[in-house]
Amino acid sequence: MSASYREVNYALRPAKSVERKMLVDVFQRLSAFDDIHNYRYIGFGSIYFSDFLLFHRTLGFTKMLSIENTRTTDEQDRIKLNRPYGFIETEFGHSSTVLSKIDFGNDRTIGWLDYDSKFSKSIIDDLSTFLSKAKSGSVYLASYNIQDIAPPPGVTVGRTPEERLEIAIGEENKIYLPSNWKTLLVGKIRAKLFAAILKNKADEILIRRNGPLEEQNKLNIYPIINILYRDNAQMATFGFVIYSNREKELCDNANFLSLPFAKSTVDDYFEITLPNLTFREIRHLDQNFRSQTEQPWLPLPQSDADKYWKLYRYFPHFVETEL
Amino acid sequence: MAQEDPLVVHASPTKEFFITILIRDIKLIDAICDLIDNAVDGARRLRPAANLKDLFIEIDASKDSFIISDNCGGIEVTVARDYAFRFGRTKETPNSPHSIGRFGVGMKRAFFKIGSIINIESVAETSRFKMNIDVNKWISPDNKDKDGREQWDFSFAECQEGIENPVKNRQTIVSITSLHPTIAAEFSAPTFKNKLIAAIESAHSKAIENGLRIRVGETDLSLRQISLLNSDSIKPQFTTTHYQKDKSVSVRIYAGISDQVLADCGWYVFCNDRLILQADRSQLTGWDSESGDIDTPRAHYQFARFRGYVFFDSDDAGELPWNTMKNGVDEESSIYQATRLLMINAMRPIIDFLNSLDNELQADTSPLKTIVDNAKPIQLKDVEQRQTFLGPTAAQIQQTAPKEGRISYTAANEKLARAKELLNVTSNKAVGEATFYYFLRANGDE
Repeated sequence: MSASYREVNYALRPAKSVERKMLVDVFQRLSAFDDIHNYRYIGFGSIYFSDFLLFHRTLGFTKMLSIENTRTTDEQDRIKLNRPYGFIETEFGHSSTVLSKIDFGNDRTIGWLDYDSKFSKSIIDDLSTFLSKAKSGSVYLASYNIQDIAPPPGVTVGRTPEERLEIAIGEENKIYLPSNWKTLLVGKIRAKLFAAILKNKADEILIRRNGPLEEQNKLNIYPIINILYRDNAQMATFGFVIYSNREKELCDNANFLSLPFAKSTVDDYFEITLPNLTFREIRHLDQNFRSQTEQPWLPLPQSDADKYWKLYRYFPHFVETEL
Repeated sequence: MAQEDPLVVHASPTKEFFITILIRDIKLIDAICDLIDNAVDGARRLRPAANLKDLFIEIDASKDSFIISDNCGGIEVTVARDYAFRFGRTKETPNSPHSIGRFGVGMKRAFFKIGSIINIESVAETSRFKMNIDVNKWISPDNKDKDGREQWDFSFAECQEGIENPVKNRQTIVSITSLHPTIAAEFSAPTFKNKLIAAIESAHSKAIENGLRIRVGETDLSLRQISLLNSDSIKPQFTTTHYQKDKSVSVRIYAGISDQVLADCGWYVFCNDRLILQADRSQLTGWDSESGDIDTPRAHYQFARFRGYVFFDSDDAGELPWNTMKNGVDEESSIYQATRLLMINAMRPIIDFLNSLDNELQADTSPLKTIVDNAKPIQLKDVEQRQTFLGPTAAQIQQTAPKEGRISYTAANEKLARAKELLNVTSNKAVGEATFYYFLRANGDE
């Protein structure tokens, strides 16, 4: 994992901030399973801990763990210094090692594995570890860079997108490729490819895990999120809920799909596109809430207004201020 | 003989075919271990409390004969008559709890593998018998029953039922002569005895630990203790999982580190305390995918300390994931597949720790090695329940990341020569270094 917090100041990523707020809405619905503040939250907080801050304030989690892959004590100290709340625990090391060490106990767990890097084998491995232990009512989310960049001239490996994909996911994971994978190699639809790989892997893990379990305890996955967004690099977030047969009704009651950005299939994604609007324009649109479909009196392209309405509740507001 | 019905199509097996297939894939040592398994099962039935002291199994194998005798309870006439000599188990075949014998084939398979004249004497609780099997006569086409069909049954030479035999008289003695030539040759090989001893010691370490005396020739087998390193900073994982679907199965996983011996490293799998998989380092136990990113031979040596032990236990041996030869795992068993996920999780923190230990070789100090050297081996029975392996944390040691990495690649000799010319160097190593630093300087680095 690269230390991308040194490249992009996380606090200023508008699309990411929209995504974060959307996830608050997702997590709130988990109260269909259990008291939401009983959940454990696991994430990669970096030094900003933006997700930790938001989720504790809105949802009240007190069991929170941040994993960072840094071995030097200086960086570890910096991360610990920046924890917004004292109860946030930190574990340092590769996500695959830390995840395999954590005892999930009886806690339902939300894991938002927000990788900086491109999609790779280790993301698939981490899914495997998380899913081998997660209890019913848990949520898995992974965010990753979906870009595909050709290597510089002179490098002999990875000259085609197919080759680069095979190198990234590793020989043993090729069985999880969807049958149409060759059509999903270029552009934004790569988000569909990676979502499909993760879902196929998840299905297989559960088949193995379910084998010796009683019928009521067998687990299923319910995909709810496939979000495309871009602040710097083109990123995607794929996520699903895990539920047992016994708790199927609770999952249905949570009604995740009523959220406007939810997607229950890997063949589709919701793209966050943010129009640039001034405060005055936003206020005007909000005041004319009822006429979302036409804005004849504003000198704004309709498409910008449409983009706004698609995610107006999550729209970020940035102000410069002296603190 | 009755008139043959012209519509009848003969489909019954021939004895010759049957024996050939039966003994084809089983190795001699595994076949002998099957006989030991039956005796150990007998021992466990006699002593449910598990103390097997004063019980013994003795084996003598030479080019002329193979003899196995034990005092583990004998075989009852009713069992011999209706179950023990059938090929396969029926629904009525009694099950002993926590047994090893499972498929109803091990004893006969071993007999046929070893030789052609088999004598069995048994004294059990309420009966005794003697039996002689002459395999060649049994196979012969002249051996027909009263309907003129192939005779599959054996017969007792003597048998007595409804008597009382005290425990100390109960025994089973099997002696096989007219050994098959290849078997006789194997028995004569100087290394055979040691291989057999090693196999039985591993397979039945638990029974030996519980006091069972097993002797091969003149040698009494000894206990192979399993131990894992333990200290305040290093603790093995020990977890137990219970599955309650149809029958109850419990799975214990121990994972940790031990001596740096590559041949011993890997996963050991036991079913009802019988070892079936030893020092496995393959995909089967999830091993390959974990160390898969590294491909130098030395790199595999760095995992030589890893030890994982999985114990599957059930009163119904049929629920456990073993193959028919008890020398491997039934990969398709759902319990095994679920457990394999847990085994992979168990391995990760240990592999991570062993990598750190290995990286220390390039650093100036070796605090991790000191911690490992100060840890003491403890036996599995003394390991405490622990969710995951504990290795020293960064807080306990000043962890230094390796400062250097190795870059290595090949290039066409023509181009290599040209580069040497341009850079004014003579060695390949110098070309690598010069081009690397050239690139960095060109990008503003120093």
